[in-house]
Amino acid sequence: MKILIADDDAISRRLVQKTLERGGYQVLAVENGRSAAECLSSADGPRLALLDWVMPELDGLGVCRQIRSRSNHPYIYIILLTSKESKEDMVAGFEAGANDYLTKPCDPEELKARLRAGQQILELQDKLIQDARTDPLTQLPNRTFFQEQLVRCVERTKRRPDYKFAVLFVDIDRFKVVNDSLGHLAGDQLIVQIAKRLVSSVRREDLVSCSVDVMAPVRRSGEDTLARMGGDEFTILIEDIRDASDGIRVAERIQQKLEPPFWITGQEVFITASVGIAVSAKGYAAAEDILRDADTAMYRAKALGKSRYEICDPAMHARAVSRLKLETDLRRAMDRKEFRVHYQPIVSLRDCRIIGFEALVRWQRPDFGLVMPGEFIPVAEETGLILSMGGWVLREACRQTRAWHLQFPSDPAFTVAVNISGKQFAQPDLVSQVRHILREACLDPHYLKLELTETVTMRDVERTARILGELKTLGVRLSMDDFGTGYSSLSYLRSFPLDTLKIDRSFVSEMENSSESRAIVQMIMSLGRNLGMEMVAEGVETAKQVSLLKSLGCDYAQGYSFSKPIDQERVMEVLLKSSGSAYRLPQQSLVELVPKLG
Amino acid sequence: MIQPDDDSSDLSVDLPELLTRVDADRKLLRELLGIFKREFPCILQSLQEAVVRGDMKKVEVTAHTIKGMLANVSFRRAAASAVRLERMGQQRNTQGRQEELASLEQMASLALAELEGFCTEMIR
Repeated sequence: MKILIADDDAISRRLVQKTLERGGYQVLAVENGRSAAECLSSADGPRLALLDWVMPELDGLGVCRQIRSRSNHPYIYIILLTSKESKEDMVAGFEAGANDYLTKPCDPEELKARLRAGQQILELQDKLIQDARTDPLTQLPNRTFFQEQLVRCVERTKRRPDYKFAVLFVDIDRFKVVNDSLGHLAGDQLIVQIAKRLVSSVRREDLVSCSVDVMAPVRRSGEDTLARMGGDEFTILIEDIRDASDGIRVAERIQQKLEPPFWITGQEVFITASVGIAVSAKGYAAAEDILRDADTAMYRAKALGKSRYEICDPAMHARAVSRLKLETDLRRAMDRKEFRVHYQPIVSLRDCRIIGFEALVRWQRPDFGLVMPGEFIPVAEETGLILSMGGWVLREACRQTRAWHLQFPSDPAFTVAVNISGKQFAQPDLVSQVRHILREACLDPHYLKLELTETVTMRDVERTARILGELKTLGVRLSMDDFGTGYSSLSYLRSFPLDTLKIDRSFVSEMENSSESRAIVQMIMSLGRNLGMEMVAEGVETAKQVSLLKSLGCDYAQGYSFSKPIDQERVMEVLLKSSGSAYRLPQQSLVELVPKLG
Repeated sequence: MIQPDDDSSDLSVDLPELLTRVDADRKLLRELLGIFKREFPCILQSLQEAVVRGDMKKVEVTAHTIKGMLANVSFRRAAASAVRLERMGQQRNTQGRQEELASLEQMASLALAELEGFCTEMIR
């Protein structure tokens, strides 16, 4: 180990030098404090120092203070070796930053013993630093180390505009499945094996540099840093790139390396990874910004089907910010009573009589106006807000329908169709919730139609059949929404107690121009009729579609051809304008009515 | 640690202590003697000048350096004299400084002669 001796007394210097050389140290000897400070500041300078106190130019205490004032430099163990013997001097030495204090002339054995103690302290300290920057499972650098490197790179881009780097955020797809099925121990084994393959993915010109070197924390340019951020997340810092294509190459190599199966606890496990790439080219002010963008891109890769990479661009970032704001606003929307229910009339194609309404949620979002469900329902689904929102829509629709029944009696009375999301349907107390809401609204269950999609019903057909059966027993009517677009097993369809099939708008809109779509509509209707169901066509927009649906024997329809979804005040207007016990939409050109009603 | 009243030994040089310090390396001992003969006169001259001027701050600093040098070669009695001079400097006490300097010079000279004698003996 290297050691510095600084002493202006040539005898003392030579004596200690010889003693330490005998002890196996590599000794550097200087005769004043300034030379000592310079020597200790060099990148590969000694980390043990024996300093005399009284020296020309800069004394030993001055050297101590200078060394201790530095940051981002390996720690140096300092022993003051001096003829100053008072307790006050000793205290002053320690206060200046010395680790130990020896008086001259010192015993050679005592000196060597004190140095050994210092070396042990340095070794422990290095280990602590190493541990603080290393992931204990994979022995890769950890988040702390990675962020230090990232800060260095961002600072470098500010000094050198031509310098570019990329950050790859790697997340293992379906890792939770492995963890949950094979256990956490197996999950850890898999992470270790993945880390090894990632190490080989970042190898550039046969150079792998993922180990932590505390003695030389400043890394050479051109090296890639692979780190484990935690869980199944890894990050890679690729320096000195030309453009994003360098990042893409590494991302492709990662996916290639992860392709072969892993053997974990005697089982073959296949995994893939989603990778987000962010390139420094656009100029980042802070390290966390580029990491955030790589993370965003990774989530986009996940959303687009996993096992792929995505590059972050400003538009993507803007989308992410907007999505976050949407989520925040959506969480507050319920408390702020910003949701509205609009009602789209469902009419009989035979006589244009309104037989009911489909309740559709809208969001009156401050500064944005009325927001359509397509923009916020997916977020509500992801965040679980759909449960409170869906419950509220159901309650409001039942309350409103009961009010209409009292104000506008008809025979039969209006029905109200309410969509049930997958998360709502999965609730174990769905049936009791519906029962409670109906009772609260004093609405006859017969006038409530719950609409479910094929995807939701087919997830767990046995449970679906049971829940639908219970709802049916309650008296609620059931409708299969968007029929024909999802996956349905016709045999199960038969076993579900459905009342209505709703023909998806995509088939209706194509009916005029596509004989295949006409054939599909005809087939769905035939199927529904044979199963004793009512048929409702969705998204009817033209008179020709109305005519075609009539000719095919469709019972009911909804769509802009009749009315777009309208708020309850406008529903009142329509109903008040109708006369007698049958409520109809006005008979003149229905398409022309749309602006009037909407 | 050198004490100001350290006149315990009949000899001016504590040879056993010095030999332990150099790990019985006689070559090193001769080398240290050479360094002492080269360096000591200069530093002693600085001390003499400070004593003559009555510059007690300079006396303190220079006597401190001389003390370390003498202690390293185990010139115990001379080193004890340097301690006394350093203390005079610290206390800015000019009384008896020249006598103490003379004592230091004499003891250092005796010790040097003893050490040279020992080294010569070693060569034989």
